[in-house]
Amino acid sequence: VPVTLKKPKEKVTEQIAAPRRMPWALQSVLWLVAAVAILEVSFAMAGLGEQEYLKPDQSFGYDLIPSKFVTWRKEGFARLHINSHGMQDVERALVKPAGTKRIAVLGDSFVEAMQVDRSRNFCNIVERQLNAADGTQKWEVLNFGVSNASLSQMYLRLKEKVSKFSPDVVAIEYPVDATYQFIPDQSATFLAARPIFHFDGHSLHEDRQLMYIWRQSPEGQRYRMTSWLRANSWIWGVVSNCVEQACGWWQGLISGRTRWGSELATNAPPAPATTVNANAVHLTPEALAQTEKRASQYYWPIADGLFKMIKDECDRQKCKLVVIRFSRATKNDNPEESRLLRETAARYGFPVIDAIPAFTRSRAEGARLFYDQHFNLEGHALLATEILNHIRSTIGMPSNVNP
Amino acid sequence: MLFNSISYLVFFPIVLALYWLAPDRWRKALLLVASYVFYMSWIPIYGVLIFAMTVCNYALALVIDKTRTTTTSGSPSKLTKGLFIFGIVGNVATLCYYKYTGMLVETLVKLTNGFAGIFNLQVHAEMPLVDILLPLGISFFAFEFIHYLYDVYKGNRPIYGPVDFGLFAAFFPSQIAGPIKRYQFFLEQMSRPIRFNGAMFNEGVALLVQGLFKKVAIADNLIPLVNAGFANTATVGTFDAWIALLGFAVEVYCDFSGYTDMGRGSAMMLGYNLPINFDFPYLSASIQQFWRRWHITLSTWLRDYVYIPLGGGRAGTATKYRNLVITMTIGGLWHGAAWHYVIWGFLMGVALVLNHYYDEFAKRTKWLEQLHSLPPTKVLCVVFTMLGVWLSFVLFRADNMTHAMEMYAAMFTWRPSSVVVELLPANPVLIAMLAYAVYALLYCLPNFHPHPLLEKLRSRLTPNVIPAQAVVYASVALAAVGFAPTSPSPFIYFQF
Repeated sequence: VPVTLKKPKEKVTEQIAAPRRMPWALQSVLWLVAAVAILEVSFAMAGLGEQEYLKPDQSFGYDLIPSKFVTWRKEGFARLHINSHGMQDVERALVKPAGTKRIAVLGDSFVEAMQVDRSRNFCNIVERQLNAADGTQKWEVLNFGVSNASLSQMYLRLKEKVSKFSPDVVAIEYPVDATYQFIPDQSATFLAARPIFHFDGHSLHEDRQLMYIWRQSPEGQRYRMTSWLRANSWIWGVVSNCVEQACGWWQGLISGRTRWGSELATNAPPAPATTVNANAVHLTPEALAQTEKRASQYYWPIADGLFKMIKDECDRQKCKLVVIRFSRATKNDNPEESRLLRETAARYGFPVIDAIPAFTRSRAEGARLFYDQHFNLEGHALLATEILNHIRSTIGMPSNVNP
Repeated sequence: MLFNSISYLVFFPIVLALYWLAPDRWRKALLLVASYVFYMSWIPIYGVLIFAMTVCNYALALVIDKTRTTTTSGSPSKLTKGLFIFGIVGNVATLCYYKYTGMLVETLVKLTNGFAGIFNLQVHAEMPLVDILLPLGISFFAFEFIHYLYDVYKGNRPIYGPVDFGLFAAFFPSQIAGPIKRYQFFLEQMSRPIRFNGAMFNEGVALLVQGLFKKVAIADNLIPLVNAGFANTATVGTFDAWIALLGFAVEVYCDFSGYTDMGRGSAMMLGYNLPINFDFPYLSASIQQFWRRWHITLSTWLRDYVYIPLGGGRAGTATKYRNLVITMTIGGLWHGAAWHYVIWGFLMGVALVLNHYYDEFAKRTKWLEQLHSLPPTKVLCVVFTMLGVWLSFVLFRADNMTHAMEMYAAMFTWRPSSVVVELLPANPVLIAMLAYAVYALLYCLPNFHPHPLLEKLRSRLTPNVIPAQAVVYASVALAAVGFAPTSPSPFIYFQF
């Protein structure tokens, strides 16, 4: 009897059951791609790793990274998108639309206003109020605020960037103690790497040496090499934040400020009180005021020169100049600086919107206008009100503006 | 040292490398030294305390073991009994001194002033300054010592090697907030030669990064919300109060189970297994089940060393209920030196009694038994159990009874919300919780049998080559530190 041999069953089963295993290298690459994608999306949704929003800039030292998303949690909270021109503002056309008047506001982090929702910073409040009051034309208030900006940077920004937007009014922020920005900072850090002006007794001279030194430094080279990642990757932001924290921890450890394993802050024994140095010179309030007065006087010629250059630039661009002055969280006024500013303004013929009295009054009444350093919502609302109050008398705004 | 600190990130890899490079015979000594370095990085002098307690308990257990001669009645000799009681009292007294002195003094002062008021006495007691800093983890290692002495007293073999005992007492992955180990289980692991086990190491890394995520990405981000709610109990709105409470429920779970995961993960990477402490407690369908799944090592410790010695359920239903309430009240007191913890523990005891009573009643009633077997009823049981447990957490978290009552009032009477609700949009915790929920569904529910499709997805999404696993672990760790707030927070259970 012929015997028909069947194929062994086990073998078939084995073949089917054997799992198809992807090559390990391919599997690893796929996991890496998936992990990067998931992390980027998660961090973007949560607004993490967005703390780097400044990039080195050839002209101004540094500027906002265009089209960058920023979630601000240090003081207050806001989720913002820097526009394609590198402004903390909505997208603005370079060419001024017909029937529109533009106010360009230049300043530091107080104007940049990362701490509050964009719709509630003083620039936006002023824009809204002007448009609500004036039906004849459209008003645009352009925000050119950049963290830590000095008057020198504002002048250069006005010349090279703001002018392209054809503003009708240029508003320069000059808060209390802004003159101290002229004290030379030789720290060779990113924020110190900017153009400065020296006064030789006759005229101002631009100096970009600190920018060149910083650019050659390891930090400068790292910034240059990682510019794309800094602008586009959330993971990069998280990693650099971690590295920064680890470096801070390490420096604290080697300098003795931090103790190994002492992170149990709430449970740990109190740190020894700061030792008072017997040889330290403690300034009396009078002496401190005198020092501040002298510092303001010493560096004022630079401010004065810059204001003249800014006024000349505004005249060249056929726009009006106005200076906005207000208090800081830690200081209401610097009377000497205020006096010098008034003199300069009278000399060159530009108005000053002085919000210091309003800030002083509100604080005396118990209003809370600042987070730790910057304006909170109330601070922005107060400054907007002050600007709108002064706007008619200072730069001839429509008479029906009634904030 | 915190598991979620940069110090530990440096410390642990060094210890791990030295441990696996060292010859087997040196490893225990190395771990012992590392454990003391870990502990003493906080307040070095407290290393002396744990060392002294270790030496005393080690010597006592050896003497108890040596003198254990049973009398004709079968009970241990008077000397053994005396030494045992001395040991237990010593451990409890040390714990009480460091943990409860402040509470006792405060209560005495209040009582004195209260009586003086009632009887019109011209006495006014002032609160003296009690400046005793609680040594980290004392509640945990004191409980381990008590368990050790009790078991040796009951006839178990003690640990003879001083290094072995020192390591049992100070093993850094479980030193500060448990899990509360059982020495028999740990001794068995110490007695065998430790060989590197890839699968165990892999599981350890997974647990470590998972715990890190739970702690820093979820629990730490919830702290501002919870603190804002419980610090403003007089002004919080209804939504504020509920968000703060639910936030605390998630925070305390992620904080403690995250710590346990990190501890167990670190131990596994060193070749040791630590007991499981949490088994998805928020899926419990009764209070009884909850305590079998929440802080399991404490619940079992209380069962074995308080409830059973008190008589357990052997002497009738009334005694059983009494013992349950006493045990849970002690459990509440263990959590902290404050009356709201005691009341919380007492209420948990009462809830357990009601649970037992209802269970017995349901067993006798056929329709109730049938009702409980229906899936919707099971879901409802989980919902009600969790609601009950979370509501009890108000007592647990509030600073005092007044704040707790204010919180309950805010939860159950309508008030407009502005305190916690306003902080919510700025907090990345919801995204972190969503990410963890997906992760837990895929990887953390071993006993959960989902749809076959999900099972297939789960197996597909489990990397099985080392570089791919490394990518996943690195990503979870990066996600954890990415979501973490700027400064690390200590674990909640450190204060216990």
